[in-house]
Amino acid sequence: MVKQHGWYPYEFQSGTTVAIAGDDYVVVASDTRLTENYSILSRTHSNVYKMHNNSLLLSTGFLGDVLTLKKTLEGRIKSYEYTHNKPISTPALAQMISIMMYGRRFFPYYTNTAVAGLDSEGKGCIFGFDPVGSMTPERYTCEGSAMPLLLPILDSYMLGKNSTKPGPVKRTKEEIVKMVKDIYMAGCERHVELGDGVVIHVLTKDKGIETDVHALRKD
Amino acid sequence: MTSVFNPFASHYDAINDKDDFNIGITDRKNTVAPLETEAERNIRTRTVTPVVTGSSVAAFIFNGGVILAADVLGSYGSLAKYRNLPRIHQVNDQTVMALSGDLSDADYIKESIDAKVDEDIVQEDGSEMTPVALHAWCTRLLYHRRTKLNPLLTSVIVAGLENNEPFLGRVNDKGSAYKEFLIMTGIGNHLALGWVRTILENSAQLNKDQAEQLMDRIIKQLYYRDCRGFARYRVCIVTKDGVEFKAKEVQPDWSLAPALRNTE
Repeated sequence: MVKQHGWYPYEFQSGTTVAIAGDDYVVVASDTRLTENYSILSRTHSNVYKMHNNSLLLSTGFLGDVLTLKKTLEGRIKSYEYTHNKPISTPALAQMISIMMYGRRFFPYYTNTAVAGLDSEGKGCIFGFDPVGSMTPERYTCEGSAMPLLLPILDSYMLGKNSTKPGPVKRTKEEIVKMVKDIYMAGCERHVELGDGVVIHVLTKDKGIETDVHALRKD
Repeated sequence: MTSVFNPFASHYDAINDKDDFNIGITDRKNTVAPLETEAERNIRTRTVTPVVTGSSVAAFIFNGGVILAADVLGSYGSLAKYRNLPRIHQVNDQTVMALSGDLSDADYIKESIDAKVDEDIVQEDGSEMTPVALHAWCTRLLYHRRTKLNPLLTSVIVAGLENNEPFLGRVNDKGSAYKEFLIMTGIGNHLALGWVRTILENSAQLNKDQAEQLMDRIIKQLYYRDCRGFARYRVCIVTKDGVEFKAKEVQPDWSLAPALRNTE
């Protein structure tokens, strides 16, 4: 008989994150529900982590790896700042994350991460990673358990893909925030792990990070 | 120089035949080369199934502090073998730790944290371990052991007052940690978390007596429905006045049993 898995070193917590980059801002959102199998552990657990260099780390998947990745990164960001006498830029941080995650290629950080911030010209930038650190710069990302539900809507809304009116559409910050609330509200009707609330951060050069929490269904 | 207990020294994780008393005195010139490598030894000696286990722990924040409760049973599989093992451990005047799951791993964690607290005392600089610090440290410890594929099969609930604000957090055997106003480990998650969360979300914050009454009701419920539950339990209340332990016993009401006959 095949031996079943006894203790398995990974587990999967829920969480869905969305990030959208604009000309001078980045909008980042996460649901606030933390589940383990079919229990809700917390209704107020966000998957967005503010890094000291004024960028935002979005990370879902296995919570142990998420916390370790975040903690290791925080240490390395400080170390960079002490060595180079300036905060690490978001593209450089993305490269660092990619290398770090590939370093664990044979026992990966089981996380779907993205990092969002403003680049040196002040434009919003987002870098998405797979669990072993493959890095891609993107204009918007959606990752996590409800990603299959939300990503097609983002494709259609942001780039006009797969729709009758193809081509990117210029949107304002306020329209993006409204859309994010709408897609989370739509997603939580159809996905069990999505609900309780969505926390939306808007990062701009002038005002820093502004945070808004929008309540969602609790069922 | 007083001896320092370093739980991360490699010989505390591996059974070392060369060193009979496991105190790290090895003279490499006088030993024979082992027949297996360190990695092979660790894979052979790690445990992935718990032996003596503690059942659920229930904990929540009330107005002015945190309350935790855990029964005093150590189960050896389905045998109720050790009937007086308190699982709530006081770390200092503002922090407590409750453990469930494998109890020998729980003892290891308790010993490590006690050694850390002793080091703090010896430094005499007034610095004390806070609940947030303990929560972070336990997360690192448990994550590190899971990465070595030699886990500590224990869930740790850390509770206390952080800057006079109540704190409650949990770490599991894989290093996943979170904080919340209501936490239950083990089967209590399924038997009690739902209805208790409804009470705590919909009422104004409870005072200490109400919190105790609610906790008694929770433990009674766990005793009714958890096969590995036990009637004797300890309650721990942390407020700014300090840490208080109470030993209690469930007074079950079995009068509802005939009504449930033939329904299950």
